[in-house]
Amino acid sequence: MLTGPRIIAGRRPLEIVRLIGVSALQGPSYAAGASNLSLVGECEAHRQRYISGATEVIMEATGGARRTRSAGGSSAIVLSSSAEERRARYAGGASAMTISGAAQAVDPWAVAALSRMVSPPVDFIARLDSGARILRAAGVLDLLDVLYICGSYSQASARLNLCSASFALTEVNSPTWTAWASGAAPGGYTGGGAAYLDTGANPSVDFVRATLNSASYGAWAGLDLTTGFSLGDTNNRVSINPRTGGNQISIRVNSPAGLTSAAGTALTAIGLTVGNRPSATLREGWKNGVLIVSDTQAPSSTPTDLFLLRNAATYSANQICAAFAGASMTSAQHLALYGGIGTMLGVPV
Amino acid sequence: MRFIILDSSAAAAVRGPTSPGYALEPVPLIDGSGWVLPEVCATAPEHAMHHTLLATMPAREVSDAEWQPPGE
Repeated sequence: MLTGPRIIAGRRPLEIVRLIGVSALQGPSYAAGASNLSLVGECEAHRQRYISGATEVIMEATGGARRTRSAGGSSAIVLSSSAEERRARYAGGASAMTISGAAQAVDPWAVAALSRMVSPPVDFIARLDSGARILRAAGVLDLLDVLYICGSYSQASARLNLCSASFALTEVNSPTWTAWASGAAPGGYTGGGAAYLDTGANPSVDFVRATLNSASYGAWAGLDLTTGFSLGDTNNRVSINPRTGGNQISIRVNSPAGLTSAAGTALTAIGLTVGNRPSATLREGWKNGVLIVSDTQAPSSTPTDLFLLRNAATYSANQICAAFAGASMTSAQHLALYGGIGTMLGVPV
Repeated sequence: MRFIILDSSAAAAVRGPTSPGYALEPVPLIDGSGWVLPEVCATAPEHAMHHTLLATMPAREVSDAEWQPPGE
């Protein structure tokens, strides 16, 4: 039992750490490995950066985890009474997390995604959490096979598939990555010169949500170019061109035949362009949650690979901020998808 | 844009993963005379395993029409 310690760093492995009363855990950087960390009373974990590996973390009464950055790997986290979790957004890897009182838990999908990242900053965690809540409320999270937020805080996190530990992006031929920055464009991967991103997925066998007659593929472009595919595959089964020279969107979904919108319907490439197939007799092109074009072209087969910034033998110089693939979505879900991904990218939507 | 020009054997030698999360995939010139990679690949740290070989390859400006078909 420790009362009022300033520093407990370096005393690993810690089996039990218990702070009582007004003791403050202001200084410690590590309680890693503690099997039981209990903060009771007015304890605050102001600068507590790591409690990863703890099997149980309890913050009671007025104890606040206001700046707790990471409880990753903890098997149980309990925040009770008036404990605040407002800035303790990252509990990645926790197998159990109990929040009571006024505290609010991070969306579990976001928690799982964050558990695969290294030291995500608080603002990124907040964006991811807020975006996930939008997607969850509309039922979109259950429709996704892959989701990439390339406009991220680190290059390693930009490559991750946030839906699972599989299909992380491979950077092929050195695309340029730009970090997300407040008040600027959302960042992401910029192509040019045969550079692209390979998902490593074979949608025809790897994807369980996207199928022949129910599929949705899309990408958020960051530059206003009039040529180049944001997303595609080797055999022209899926593709997304966010803006042609005629100010159109052009998409493919499980068919080599392209669907192009009317001239003048895409005045910018920037934003989320989606190809959607609700059935064997309908396919649609969406821009920023709005239906732009549709027809009755039947599908032929699903793609056997999936790229960003490349389709077949053509490559794009655009910037990819985000991309996804999954099952067909309703009009409400397309709007939520635009809002959720936009929120994750910090873009007003 | 400047590209490294590779012959078939060099293209085969560098093709594939170079480090976790990174890979090289040379693209054929349309006239069949060789393969290209963006010049930045010759110095990018993630492709360090091939820097010695890539440094021996010529580089020049290559127009889009030489290595990819027109976009839609």
